[in-house]
Amino acid sequence: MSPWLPFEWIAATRFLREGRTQSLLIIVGVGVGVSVIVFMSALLSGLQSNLVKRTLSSQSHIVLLPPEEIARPLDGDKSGPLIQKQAQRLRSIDQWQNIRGRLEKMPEIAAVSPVASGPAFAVRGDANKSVSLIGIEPENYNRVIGLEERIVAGRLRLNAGEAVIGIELAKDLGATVGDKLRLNTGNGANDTLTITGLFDLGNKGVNARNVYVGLRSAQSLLDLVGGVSSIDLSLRDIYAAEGLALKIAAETGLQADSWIKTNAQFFTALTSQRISSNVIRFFIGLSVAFGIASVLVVSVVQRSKEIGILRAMGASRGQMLRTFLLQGGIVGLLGSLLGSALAWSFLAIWRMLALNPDGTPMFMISVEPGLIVIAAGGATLVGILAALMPARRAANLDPVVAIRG
Amino acid sequence: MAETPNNTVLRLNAIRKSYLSGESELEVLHGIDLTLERGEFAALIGPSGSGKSTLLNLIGLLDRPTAGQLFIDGEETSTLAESSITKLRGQRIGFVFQHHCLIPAFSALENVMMPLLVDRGRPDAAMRQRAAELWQREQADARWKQLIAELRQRTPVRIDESHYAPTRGSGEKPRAG
Repeated sequence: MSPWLPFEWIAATRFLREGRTQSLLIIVGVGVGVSVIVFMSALLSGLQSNLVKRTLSSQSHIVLLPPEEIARPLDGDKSGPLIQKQAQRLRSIDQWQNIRGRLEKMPEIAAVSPVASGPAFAVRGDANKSVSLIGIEPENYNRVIGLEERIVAGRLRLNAGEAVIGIELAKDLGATVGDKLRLNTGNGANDTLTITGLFDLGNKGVNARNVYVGLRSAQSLLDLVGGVSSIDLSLRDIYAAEGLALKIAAETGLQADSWIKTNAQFFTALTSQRISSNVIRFFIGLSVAFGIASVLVVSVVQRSKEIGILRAMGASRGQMLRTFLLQGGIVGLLGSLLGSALAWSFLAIWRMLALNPDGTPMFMISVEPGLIVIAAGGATLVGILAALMPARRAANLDPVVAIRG
Repeated sequence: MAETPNNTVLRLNAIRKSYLSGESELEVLHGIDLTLERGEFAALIGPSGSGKSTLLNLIGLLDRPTAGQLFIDGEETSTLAESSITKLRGQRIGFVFQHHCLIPAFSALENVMMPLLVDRGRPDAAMRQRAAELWQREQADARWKQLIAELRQRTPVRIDESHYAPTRGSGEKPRAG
C-alpha cells in the first residue's frame, strides 16, 4: 500500500486487480475500440492529406483575378430592355504590385506569386496543341506550387526564350529537353522557346496543358506588358482558404477563388468522409462506454457487501463515488494505451501490404503522438463518464441493505 | 444540541422507527428509551422480528430514526448531516458483524487498518504500526483468502479494536494509529 496514494486510488486498483479476468477483458475491449479509432484516424488522415496534396500539386490555395467586367447602361437610360453580358477579355490586375506588397504582409499567407497566363498554341512541326501559357517568377511560384521538385528532366530555368513543359505535352509533340517549341497566342504574337525542363505534376490534364515561361516572356506574348492576370497565394492553413479569400476579396475588390471553392465537389467528399468517420468514432466510443459501464455495474453489485462494510467503517459517499470513477478512468487509460499499441501494429502491417507496383508506399501514413494523447485522454474521460452511473449507485447504497446482502 | 459531558456514551430518547409497507406505515420501534454508561455491557434479547437489528442499525448510525433523539457521547445525531453522521460512525462506532465481513481485495492487516484509512484518507506508518500491534503474532500481510477459515471468528473483533469503540463501552479514548 503506497503511503502517498489516497484511499480511493488504493481501493480502485485493488478492486480492479481482484477482479482480474473481468478487468482484463474490459481493458482488451476498450483497447480494441481505441485501436480501431486510432487506426482509422491515422489511415483517413493519411489518405486525406495525400488526396489534398495531389489536388493542390498543380493549383494554388487562393487565386486572385481581376473583377469581371460588367456592361452597364448610361445613367438614366432605361430604353434598353436587355443588357448583354460582356465577353471577358484578358486584362491585368490594377495596381498589382501594391496588392502584392499588402498580401505579403498578411501572417496567414506563406507565399505570393504573380502570374501572367492565357491561351496559346504550341506548335512543333506538323503538331500543334492548345495550351495554357503561364508566365511565372520561378522562385515565388515554387513556394506556391513546388514546380522545381516535380521536374523530371532538365531543370527549372526560365530565362528569356526558355520554357518548361509537362511530360504529356512533350510526348504529344515528340519533344524533349533542349528541343525548340513555337508558341502562338490569340493576339498574333509568337515566340520560339527552348525546352529547359519537363515536369510531372501528377495530373495528366495539367501535364498536357501547362507551359511555363518567365513572367516577362508571358507578358510580352499575351500583350500584358507590366501586368499580371492573376496572383497565386499559398497559405499556412489550407483549410482557412475560403474565409481568407472572402476577406481578401472584400479588401482588394478582386475576385478571390479558394481551392475549396474551385474543388467544391472534392471538398464536399472530404467533409462527408470526415463526418462519416466521426460518426463511426462516436459509436465505437459509445460501445466502449457501455462496455465499461456494464462491467462496473456488475462490479458494484458484486461488491455491494464490501461497499456496505466500508460505509459502516466511515467511508463517505464521496470516497465510494471516486473509487468507482477512478476504476472507469483507469480502465479507459490502460485500454487506450493497449489500443494505441495495437493501432501501431496494424499500421505497420498496413505499410507492408499497401504498396504501389514499384514497391513504394501508396501514401504516407503515420500515428501522430498527439493522436495517442487525444485517444488516451478521450478514453479516460469516456471511462470516467461511463463509471458515473455505477459509481453513483455504489455511493448511494444503503449500508444496512448492502451488508445484509 | 450537545449534552453536558458525563459518563453516558449512548442515550436513546423515545426512538421510533417506521417503514412504509405499500400504502400503510409499519412501526417497528415504538418509543425506545435506553441509556448506556461507559464500560457497561448490554445484551439485546428478543424474538425474531422484534426489531433488534433495526435498533442496532439506528445505534450504529447506519439508519435514521423516524422520531426521537439519539445521543452518541452526548452529541445529538438526528440533526447531523449525512457527512457528519458518516464521520461520527467511522470515528466512534465499532461493529462486530454476525458473519465475517472483510474486504478480500485487501490484506488482513489492511483490513485492520481500514477504519483509520478511510478516516484519514491515505495510509501512514503510524497507522500500519497500530494495526500491526493489534495483529500481534499473526502473519501481518497474509491475504484474507488464505486465512479465511482462521480469521472467521477473530478478525472482526480486531477491526473493532483498531478504531476503539466507545459505544461498546470499551472505555478507550481515541488514539491516533
